[in-house]
Amino acid sequence: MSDAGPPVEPTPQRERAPQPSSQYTGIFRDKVVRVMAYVAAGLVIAFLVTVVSALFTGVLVPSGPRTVAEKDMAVAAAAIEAGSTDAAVWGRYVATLIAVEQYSRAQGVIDDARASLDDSATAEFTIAEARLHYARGRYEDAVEAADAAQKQISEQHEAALAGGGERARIARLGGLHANHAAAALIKAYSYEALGEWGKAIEQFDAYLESTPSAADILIDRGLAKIEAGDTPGAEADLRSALAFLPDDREALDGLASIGVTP
Amino acid sequence: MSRTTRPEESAAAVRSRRGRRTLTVILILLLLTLALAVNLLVRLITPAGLPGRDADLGGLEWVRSIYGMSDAPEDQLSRAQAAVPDSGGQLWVTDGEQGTIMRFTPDGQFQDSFSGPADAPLLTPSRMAFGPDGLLYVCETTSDAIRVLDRGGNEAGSFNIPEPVSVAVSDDRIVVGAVAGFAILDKQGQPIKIVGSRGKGEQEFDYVHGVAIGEDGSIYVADSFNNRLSAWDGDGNRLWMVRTGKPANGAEMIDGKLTVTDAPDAEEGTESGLQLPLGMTLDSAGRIVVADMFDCTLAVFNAEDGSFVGKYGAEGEDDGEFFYPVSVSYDPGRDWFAVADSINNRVQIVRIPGSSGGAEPVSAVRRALTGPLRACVPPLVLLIVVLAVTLVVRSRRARAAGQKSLNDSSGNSDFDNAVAYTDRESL
Repeated sequence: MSDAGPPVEPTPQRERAPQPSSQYTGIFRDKVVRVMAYVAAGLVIAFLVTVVSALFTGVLVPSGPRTVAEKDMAVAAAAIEAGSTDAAVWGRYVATLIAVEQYSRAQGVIDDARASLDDSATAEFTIAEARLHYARGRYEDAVEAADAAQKQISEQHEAALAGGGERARIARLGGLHANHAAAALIKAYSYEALGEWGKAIEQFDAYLESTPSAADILIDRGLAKIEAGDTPGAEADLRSALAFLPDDREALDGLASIGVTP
Repeated sequence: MSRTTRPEESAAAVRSRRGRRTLTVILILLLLTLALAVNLLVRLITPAGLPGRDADLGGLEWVRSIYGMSDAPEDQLSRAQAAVPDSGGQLWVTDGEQGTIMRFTPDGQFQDSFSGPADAPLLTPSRMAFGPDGLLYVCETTSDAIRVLDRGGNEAGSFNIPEPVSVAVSDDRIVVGAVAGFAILDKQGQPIKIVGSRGKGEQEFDYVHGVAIGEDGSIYVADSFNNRLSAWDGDGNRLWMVRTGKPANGAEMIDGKLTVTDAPDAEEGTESGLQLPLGMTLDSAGRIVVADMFDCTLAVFNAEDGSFVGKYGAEGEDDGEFFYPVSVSYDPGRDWFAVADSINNRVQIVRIPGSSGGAEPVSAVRRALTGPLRACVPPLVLLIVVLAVTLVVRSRRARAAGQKSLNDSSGNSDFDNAVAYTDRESL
């Protein structure tokens, strides 16, 4: 294969083309060069006209949140902008950033939050970190962060109980913070991603202990049990889920995959 | 292969070759830069967190959602009640929290809001309709009134009517759905005919949450708790009535016991069965589109006889899903529906198949031009103009060149003839 184009033969036409009387000068005496220049100029003009047109037709004008993810992100950002010191609001903001795959920004918000807010009672930022690890596919790190969050929440809970008084009464009535169960779910899905079905089922068990009617988690545990080879357990979970969600496609497909008629 | 530079190769040919090479590089760089810029623009206008591709919405196409007047938590919609388009496509929205009427552009950008006249502000505005006269007709159930306002929120002929819960307006009629039936009024609010009384019988109604007026003046009615749809002529004579599912008012006290009695013609468990038909509109294909609150779908019926056409949407909180949709309106210019998605606290703009009533390619182009692709129209027009001008110029040049060569050839011919003549003379 040649490393250069064919030689430009000085054909009679080419010899004639750059006549002094021609309206074109320099390289533009060549018709091919002219066509290429027209194409390049046309592309630039078309692009600029499109951008101007997009501005005038309002396509590039911000119009407010269009999706639920954009809305959640915008509202949380506005609350933080307004000076919210509620760790849950910051945690929600991080969750929305993760949902729209803005991972670097999410990490930045976690760092900012850690620097200025106290999440000792709820482990909000550790949970956020666990979510971020999971979203980035770092499942071992996600499990580790979720473990740390659960430990932090348990210690705070026990300290509150030991302290006595009103705080202990509230801690006893309220139980462990909801983020404890959320961490169990992060661990469950991380173990699933790692193919460790037994550990995933353990975490689903822990979550369902506090929320036994969570039909979607029953389905997830049922499907994990199918993978782990526990067919009777899977059938029981999927049937329980169908009691809440009779038409759920995942549950019905799960039952069908183990040869059970709903 | 070595480059050939022949002694006879002219300087012009060398320049041309260099020019071609330079412009090829420039073109490649330009194309790459433009591709990058287009990619950035597309990313900029593509909403984050779009509905998943695996969501089964029955053919419903999500366009956008509107969540509030700003990003501030207190400015978010709460229990959306109605969203109706005006003739320019702007959306006018009510919810259960703000007590105002909010105006948004078709792109969902908040414009302004008003609470009605200063001396008689709106109290609980709910369902609305725009008349062909450009006036806004607003139901105020608690005030037993239809508030008629201009686009600035000024009083324009409000009137009283008991417990209005829905309204539709045509050139010469106002139809108001109420708890016990519906009323056909002239444009001054004077009754022409009042149809029905409250109950479960043939001529009775139980909350008419949806009314619509067809192009021929036919009136369509959603009798919500009786779960019936019916069509009436402009004088209030019934054309047809269909039961669309199990009535929601089957429970009653009999001998001191709460007893549920189902209507004998209730369709249970069938595909067409509705759970609670509320808001209603007509699309460009002339079909009836009903918001089914408890089924969380849009149901479509044939306006000729009330036969079932299809259901679209699903229950949920993701975009394209509904949670207690209470009203629906149609924008024929953009061929889309605005749904007040009550519990999800938003208005959703969606499309369903077959609503345009026209040829599918034409509809597809119209739909595309309501989105970001409309920015491509000016460059496309420019391109067509440039091509047309180029073709005209080329054809003129070709004609001029043809004329010149014709003149040249006729000149030769004269010369030849002259030679021939001289030759003959000499002979």
